[in-house]
Amino acid sequence: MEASENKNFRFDPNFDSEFLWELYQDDYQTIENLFSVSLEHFDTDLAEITGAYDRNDRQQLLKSLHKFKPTFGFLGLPQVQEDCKNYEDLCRKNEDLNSGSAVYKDLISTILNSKQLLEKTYLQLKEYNTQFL
Amino acid sequence: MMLRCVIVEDLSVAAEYLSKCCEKAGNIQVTAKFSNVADALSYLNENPVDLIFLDVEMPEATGFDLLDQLAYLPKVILTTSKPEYAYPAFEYKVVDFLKKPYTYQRFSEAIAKLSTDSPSIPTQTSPDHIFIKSDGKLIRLNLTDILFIESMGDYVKFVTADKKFISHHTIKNLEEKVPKQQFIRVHRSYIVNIARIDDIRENFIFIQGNEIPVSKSQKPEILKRLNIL
Repeated sequence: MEASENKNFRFDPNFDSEFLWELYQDDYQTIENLFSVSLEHFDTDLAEITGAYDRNDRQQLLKSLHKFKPTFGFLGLPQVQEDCKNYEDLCRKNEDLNSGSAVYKDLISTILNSKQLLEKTYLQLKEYNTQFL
Repeated sequence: MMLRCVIVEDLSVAAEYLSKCCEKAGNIQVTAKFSNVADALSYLNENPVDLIFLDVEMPEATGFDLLDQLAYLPKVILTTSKPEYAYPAFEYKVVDFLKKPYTYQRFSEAIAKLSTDSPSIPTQTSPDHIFIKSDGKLIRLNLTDILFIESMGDYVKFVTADKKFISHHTIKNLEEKVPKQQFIRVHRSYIVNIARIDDIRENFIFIQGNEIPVSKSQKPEILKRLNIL
């Protein structure tokens, strides 16, 4: 994570730019790499969550959520991580997954929107970093 | 000093970030990354490391299960997003607990604790045994039982008083892994257990009837290491 001067990438306002700065400073190459790694595994990790929910497998759902949620923290979306945690807490309290179905739907929607944002930002980062090659 | 470490983490982005932190630190060599306990355990019992970055919740088994089954206990830094694990972390005497996501600054603080950490945790510098892979099994060998190790190309033969085990290693690789205070390379094809030497005659070491050649260049170092009155 070699921080270099004179780079000034602007993140979408949905990202917590200050937190991203805290994690990586202006090492946009590393950020691009981490976005790439995350997107590579995104669908599989999300499918673990949705699969567990569809099978009504609460324990697996909790495990999969727990595994997936820090992804958003590392990528500057701590609010999505928090949303995952809140739903995780809700699942822990309620044995019946159906009782939190509205929250689940909202969460999946948030996660899918985040994926689009990550994909868009990844391409922007890639283009941005190309100019320094 | 370069620290050899492995990362055991099932979230790819977290493992990648951790690798970058290690790279930035400059003195931490990541020798392997694993996303599950079974693979990590198999590697770690054959390849001692100084440090494990260990996630707690992983598929099939937890990071604590790995610590329970490991034949030795290197220093451990836990990485998890669940603060509830802080208490068991202390029970296992881990060096530090990194809550994901963490900054490089926080990572550095954890690394700094390694040098001030309690010496009560045995590290790879003081194991009394190793595990070797032989005949499709992981076999525990007490270091004191090993008389000598002989090179056979890409394989080595571990010789004890009553058994011989062939394992896939190079002698050079093993020289770096066995405790230096206990073992010495005496020839390009041999490492001997100093405590098991019966006698030395001219350019040969004798251990329980085995005649082991000594290279001329190594002889002064061997004599220096022996307790000669």
